[in-house]
Amino acid sequence: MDIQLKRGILEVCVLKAIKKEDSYGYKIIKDMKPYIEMSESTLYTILKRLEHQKMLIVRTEEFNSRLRKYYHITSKGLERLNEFVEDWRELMIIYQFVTKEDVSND
Amino acid sequence: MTKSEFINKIKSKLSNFPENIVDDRLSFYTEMIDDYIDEGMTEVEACEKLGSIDEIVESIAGDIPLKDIAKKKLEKRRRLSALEIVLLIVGFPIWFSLIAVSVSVLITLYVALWSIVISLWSVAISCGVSFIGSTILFIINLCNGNQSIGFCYLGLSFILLGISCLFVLLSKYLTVIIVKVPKFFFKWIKSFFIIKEDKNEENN
Repeated sequence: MDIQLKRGILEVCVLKAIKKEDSYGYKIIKDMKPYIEMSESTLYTILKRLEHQKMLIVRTEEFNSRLRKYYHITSKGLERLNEFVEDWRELMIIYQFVTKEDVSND
Repeated sequence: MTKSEFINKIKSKLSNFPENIVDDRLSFYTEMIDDYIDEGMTEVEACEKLGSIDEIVESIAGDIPLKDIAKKKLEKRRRLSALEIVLLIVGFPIWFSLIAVSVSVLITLYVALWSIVISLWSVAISCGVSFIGSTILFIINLCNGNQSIGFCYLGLSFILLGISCLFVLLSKYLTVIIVKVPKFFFKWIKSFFIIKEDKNEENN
């Protein structure tokens, strides 16, 4: 897969993972695992980038006598998610057209 | 390897890098290790899950801009003695010229590499344009009844098309490599700031 495309998809997946409720590093990786694999280093870089772009905000909370960072999606992050869904709705129509052509050739 | 050994080893290898950036990253890894342990893994398994120390060090170093590393280096410098300041001022024409020459040589080399690629693209485009010209001449000569000359142009156009295709492929390949040169150069520069294992152990 193209690196830029994969990077964009990973960003959206992270936003989706924190959409329903605030989440933390380990849980984000765990929730995404059935759909897409991501290393801890990659997750850190993506979280930092999304924070920089103001698509999420970070808060620190105490858990089991240690500190844990929770990530919360912002309205800008939600906008990005909706944009992605709209863009892919259009792309899926093109995808269906392309795959349909393949089937008829067989 | 325990969690603290793992984290300390990464930290010591990156002691030349900005502390706040490294600490933020390491606190993220510490949190991940703790979560893996909560899920039932041992400390060793949790550390292994994150990857090798060298991979993590390279990943952290890659994300830190070179200017931040230079800033950290300058901060760490002790105050210069009067003699050192005098030597720096007296030696200015020498060390400044050396630095200026080194930077100029590097820029010149990079520009020279681009010049080669641009020349190759020019050849590819010229051959492509000549191919179109030869094809037109082939049609004109064929219409005028000069079949032998016309077919000569046709042969020439095929040769030019072949050369053009070859040069497009070569130019494209070299462009991709040259675009990556600065990235590899900065990675190479950053590798000098990463403290090597042996040196670190000697210090300990």
